[in-house]
Amino acid sequence: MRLSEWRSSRAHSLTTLSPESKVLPRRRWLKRLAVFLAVVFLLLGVALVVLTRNLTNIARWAVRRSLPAATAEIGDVRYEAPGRLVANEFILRDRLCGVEFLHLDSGSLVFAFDDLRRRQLGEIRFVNPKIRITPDLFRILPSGGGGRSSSWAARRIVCDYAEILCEGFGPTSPSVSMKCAFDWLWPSDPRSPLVLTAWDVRASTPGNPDAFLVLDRVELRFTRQGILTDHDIAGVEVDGGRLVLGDALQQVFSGPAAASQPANPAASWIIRKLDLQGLGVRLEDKRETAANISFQINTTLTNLSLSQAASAIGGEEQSVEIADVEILSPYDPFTKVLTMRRVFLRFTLGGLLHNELAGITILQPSIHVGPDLFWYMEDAQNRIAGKKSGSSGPPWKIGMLKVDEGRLVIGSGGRAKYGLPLNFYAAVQDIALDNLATLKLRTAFEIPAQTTDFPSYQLEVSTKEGDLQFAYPPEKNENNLVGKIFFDRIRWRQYEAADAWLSATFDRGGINGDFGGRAYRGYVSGGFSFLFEDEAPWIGWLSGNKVDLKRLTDVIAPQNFRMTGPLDFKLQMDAFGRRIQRVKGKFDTLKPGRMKIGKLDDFLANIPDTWSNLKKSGTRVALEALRDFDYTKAGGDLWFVDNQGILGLKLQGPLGSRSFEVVLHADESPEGRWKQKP
Amino acid sequence: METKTMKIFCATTALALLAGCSAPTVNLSTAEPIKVDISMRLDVYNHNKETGTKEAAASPASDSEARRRNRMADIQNFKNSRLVGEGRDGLLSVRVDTPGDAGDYVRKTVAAENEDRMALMKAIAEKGRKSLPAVQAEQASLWQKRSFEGELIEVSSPEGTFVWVPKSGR
Repeated sequence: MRLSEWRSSRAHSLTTLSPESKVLPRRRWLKRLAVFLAVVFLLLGVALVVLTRNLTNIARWAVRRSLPAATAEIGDVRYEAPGRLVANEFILRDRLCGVEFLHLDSGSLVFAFDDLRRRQLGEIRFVNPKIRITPDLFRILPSGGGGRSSSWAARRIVCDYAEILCEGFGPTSPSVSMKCAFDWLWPSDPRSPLVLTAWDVRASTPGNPDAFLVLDRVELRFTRQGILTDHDIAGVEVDGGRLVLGDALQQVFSGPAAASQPANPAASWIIRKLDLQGLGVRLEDKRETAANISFQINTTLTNLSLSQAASAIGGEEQSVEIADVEILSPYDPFTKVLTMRRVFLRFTLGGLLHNELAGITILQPSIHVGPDLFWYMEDAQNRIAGKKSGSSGPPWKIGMLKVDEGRLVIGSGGRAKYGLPLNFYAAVQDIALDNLATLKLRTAFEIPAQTTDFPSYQLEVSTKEGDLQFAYPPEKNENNLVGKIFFDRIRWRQYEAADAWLSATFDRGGINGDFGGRAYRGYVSGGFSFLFEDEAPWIGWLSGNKVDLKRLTDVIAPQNFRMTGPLDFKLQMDAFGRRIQRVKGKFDTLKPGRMKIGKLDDFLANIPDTWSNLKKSGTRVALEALRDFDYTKAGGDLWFVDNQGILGLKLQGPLGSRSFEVVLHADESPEGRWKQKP
Repeated sequence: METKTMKIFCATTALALLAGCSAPTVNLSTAEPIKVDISMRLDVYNHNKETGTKEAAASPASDSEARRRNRMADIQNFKNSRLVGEGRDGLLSVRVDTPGDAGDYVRKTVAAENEDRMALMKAIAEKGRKSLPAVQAEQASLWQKRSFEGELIEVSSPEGTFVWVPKSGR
């Protein structure tokens, strides 16, 4: 049928149909519409089913389309109503070398269809992602950074636990691994602050599994604008960790400047504020016998440019306060060699790269004089010799060294420590160090004029202004420290000396000292050898010449016993720490004198009246004869061992002689022949 | 009668003569002052045993250490008399063989001291994982350094032998 015929017949039929017959076509249309809609919905349903059942393939296709240089292995992607898309086992690899860049255990996307229209997602959650950042990652990422993708936004991005490994940026660039978490409520304002918390941050050099830097906890504060466009990190707070200053760090700094590496993404990044708290720093020394130098850094650095650490920040002087620096014995990690209560370092990063420090101020250092100090010094000396033959890098230099409130502590082979009664100060310019582990100082430490009380020793000393020669490490064969200290006055218990001096020589075996001074109108001199052994044994000897006995006995036994005349004496003693074990000595008077036992006056005054006159008179005569004695010659000897011993005193004069023997018993035991009467 | 008168006269005369005489002087002083020699020994006992008890309880001192402390004075007495000396093996050596009980006492005391010293040195060797001869040499060196001037010590001679000499002062 032709079209014109069909039209005419149709027009005819319509004009000839009844009203009932006119309803039928309308129903037919409705039916057709319903069928059409049903088909459409069916098709949509089928499409939806197909889509939801092939989300994995779709995701692979999307990744392939957006990252053509990468392959994606996706275990499972499924849609979980309402508006939640979940992916499991997402692995992104380099198509060429197969390196894994991202391994996501699980991830979810929460969205609303209205948000999709505005190119916005509700929440993106990453579950245990493992991210490897290498230069190849930047090759597979689409050029232009966040062009199209940046137009999408998410209201919240969450990750409870991520592992990030950054490596492969060159032989001198460190590998950095970390674990991190974040929960970003993505604001509309790109300048709103965001925080990323990282922990267990480890940096190591290629080929060396030992990390030279470990940061316990790091908090990064930044803005979206800072990250995406300005390359600006507002703040980094480091809380705890350790840094090993050694070959690894040197290797990192010896590489070409970051700015000269065009592929380096860190080229233009800036950290506005770097806050380091509790970062332990250890100077590396691989020798078995080398001592560890460690200290803590608590400091704040500002405007750090990652790309121009040496040049941009290089000129800006930084200040670091280090607390409780301890240099330990190369042989005994529990024995200190040098401790410094506080150290203030002034340096520039540029200077550090050239082994230069602008200044060091050391407060309250303690030099622990003991065998370990000399081992350490020998070790350092040998190292200097080794360095000269095979030099590696320029020596460290310090522009200005100041030392304040220094102390010398005498350490024995055991745990006993004895502080010396002096403080020292120093200010030295331009010191060369071969490295921070082997200080090389040669200076004179000033000893201030001051009075110092040492209650535990019952000692009070007034030092004269002087200096203490100090060479560290010692030059050539002089492996000792020599110093001479002068005192205006020394008081030990009730004994005093004036214009005294003390000279000591230290070596690995111990400390040998000599001293002298005026005391009781005579001169007293002596010496001691303090041995670096367990229990701090020491021996000493003391001799006096022309000491005024009257003054001396007035101090020893006031009112009770007195002798007069000049005296020469010599004492030897053997002791452990503060416990004197043995004393031996002898003494002789040089001129006639008089002895008076004043204590007997008490007996004389208390002779009982009830006694007979004869008895009273006899006692009086005997006591007076005993009490006073003029002698022309007097002398004696003594020895005591552990609270027991004998003191013998013999006097000869025109009226006879007196011989006294005082036997001191530690107990009432009759054992011991030495106690027996001759 | 005459005889009686004579007797009375003589007696009267004698009385008169005696009455006119002064009493005789008795000189009690000596040509030189009286010299009195007094020799006196004073024994002082320490009854404060608390200190010793505390020390003994506080320190891990063994019985041998306590025994050594008890005989220290005797040994010092021997050293003062140069009867014994400090050997190169960390032990005491009897240098003068005294006969009789005194000699026995010296030998017995030195033997007991050496036994305790050897026990101590063995303990040091075991604790420090050192050889006993090395510990003996260290202890000998320490003992000799701590010896007083005049006490006998055994030292090596330039000829390579060992000789006993009194320790000299510095």
